[in-house]
Amino acid sequence: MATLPIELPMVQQSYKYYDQGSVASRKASYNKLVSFYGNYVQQAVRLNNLPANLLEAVILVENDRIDADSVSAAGAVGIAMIKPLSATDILVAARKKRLLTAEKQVVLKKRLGTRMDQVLSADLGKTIITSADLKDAEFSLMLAGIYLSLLIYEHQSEPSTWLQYVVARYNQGYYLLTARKIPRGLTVKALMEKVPGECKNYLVKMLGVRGWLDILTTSI
Amino acid sequence: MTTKQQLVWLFTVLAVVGVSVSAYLWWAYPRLTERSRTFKFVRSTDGANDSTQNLLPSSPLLAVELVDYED
Repeated sequence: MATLPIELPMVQQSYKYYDQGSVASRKASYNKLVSFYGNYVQQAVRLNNLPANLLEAVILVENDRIDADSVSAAGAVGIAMIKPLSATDILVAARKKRLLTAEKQVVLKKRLGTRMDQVLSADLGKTIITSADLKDAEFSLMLAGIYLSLLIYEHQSEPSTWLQYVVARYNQGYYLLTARKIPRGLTVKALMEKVPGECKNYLVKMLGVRGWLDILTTSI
Repeated sequence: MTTKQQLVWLFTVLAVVGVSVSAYLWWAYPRLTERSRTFKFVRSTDGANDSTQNLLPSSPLLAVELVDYED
């Protein structure tokens, strides 16, 4: 059994705009997530054995307006802000790690229909998932849950450093470590020296003082 | 049945059982580890790290570096 302790906050920094005054509006975003999509969040959490706070925090950093139709300049789509090509690779990688259980497939198939068969036989690098799929909140949240579960699975043998890697790879993509030749086992501070500024901010927003995991586990 | 035949049967059964168990573990291990992992949130014991205090309007804001990184 893997026990993954998380000591918060992990970074003694706070994102510039996450000041005291921001807490109320951020709480409103959290309330919107729970009231609009709480059932889908709980479903993704249950089927992927995730801490609810982790999935909620990722969604709130990615999409604080909780808009299921969001499209970023970089091409990320939906409530969980995942790119179509990345989405297909996530599902293929999860399948290859034997993490795409029948229960998860049932949820995905609601959106994909017969395209689920393509996911079950595709190789990495194919695009099967479309932007329209990613605007489906139930599908998008299940995909985000599968992505987090896949990343945790790959790092759960590193109990003191797994979380920063999961967070950085969610933000920068599944291939972050190979693309930037980043070794495993780095502290948050050391990892931050090896990633772009956007990812540094992302880590602080998630793991820092008044970061999302910090406030979700204390004040909401 | 000769001793030789008995040994052949024994090793055949052991091989089948071994392959079956290995195949099951290959299939089940990721799912079992995914289901059995547990998460434990711990508040830092260092008072300076206790951001709960920072969230309370009445408490002084402890020294925390504010950042906004650029690429």
